[in-house]
Amino acid sequence: MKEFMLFIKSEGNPIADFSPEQQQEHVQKVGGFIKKMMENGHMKSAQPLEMEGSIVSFKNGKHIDGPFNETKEIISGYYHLLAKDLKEAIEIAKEDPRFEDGDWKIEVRPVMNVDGIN
Amino acid sequence: MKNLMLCTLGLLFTLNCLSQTSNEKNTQKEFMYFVYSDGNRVTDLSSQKQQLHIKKIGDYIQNLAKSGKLKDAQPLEMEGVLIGSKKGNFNEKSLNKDKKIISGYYHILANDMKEAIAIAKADPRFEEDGWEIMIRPIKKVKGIN
Repeated sequence: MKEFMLFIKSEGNPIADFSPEQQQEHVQKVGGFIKKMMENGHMKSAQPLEMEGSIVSFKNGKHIDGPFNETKEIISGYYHLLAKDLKEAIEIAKEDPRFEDGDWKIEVRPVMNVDGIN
Repeated sequence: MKNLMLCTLGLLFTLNCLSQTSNEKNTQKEFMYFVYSDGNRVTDLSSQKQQLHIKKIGDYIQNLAKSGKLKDAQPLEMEGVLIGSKKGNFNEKSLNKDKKIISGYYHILANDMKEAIAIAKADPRFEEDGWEIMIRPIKKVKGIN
C-alpha cells in the first residue's frame, strides 16, 4: 500500500448557507465515510482546518510572515490515505459524500519516500 | 536519613517535571504546515546540494521530534490529480508541477500561532529561495476528529 495526501479544497465554505440541521447531516455523512475508511484500513488520519492561518516566506535576507487571506481556493481539510496506487486513491476520493453537498475539489498527491526524511 | 530526604526531594522534582511536560502536551494545539514551492526546488539543485538540503531538513525534523513538537512530516511527489464535481459528474485534472505547488507538509504541535510561526521560521529550507510555508490550525469537529 502507498501513502497519499488528499487536500480538500473549496471556494469559501460550500455549506455556509446550509441550515444547522443540513450542516449536521453533512458532518455525519463525512464522518461516516471517514469511519468506514478507517475501519477498512484505507485512512490513516483526517482533519478539518480552521479558516485562518499565517504564511511564512523569506525574501531579501529576512523572514516575512503575514495573515493567510486566500480569497479563492482554500484547503479546508485533509485525508491521509493508504491505497494501492493513484487510481485507487482517486476512486476513494470520489466516494467522499461531500461531493453531494456543493462545489468541492480534492487534490490527490502521492507521498514521496526520501531517505533521511521519512 | 539525609540521603533518604535527598532521594525523596529528587523524586518529587522529577514527578513535578513530568507533570508539567504532560500538562504542556495537553494544552498544545495542532497545526498543519503546507510547504509550497515554485516547481521542484530540490531537483533544480546539484546532487551535492540536494544531499545537503535533505540533511539540513532531516536534522530540523529530528530536532522537532525530540522536542515533542512533531507529529508527522512528509515530502510529496510532484505529481497528482485534482478531482472536481459538477452536477454529479466528476472531472480530473493533472496538476501543473511547474506552478506553485505543495511539496510537503509538517503536522506540528505548538502552544499558539506565534510559536507555530517561530518553528516555521527555523526551517533551514529558507536558506534557499522559492519556499513558502502556510500554517493552518487544525479544527476540532465532533464526529470527524
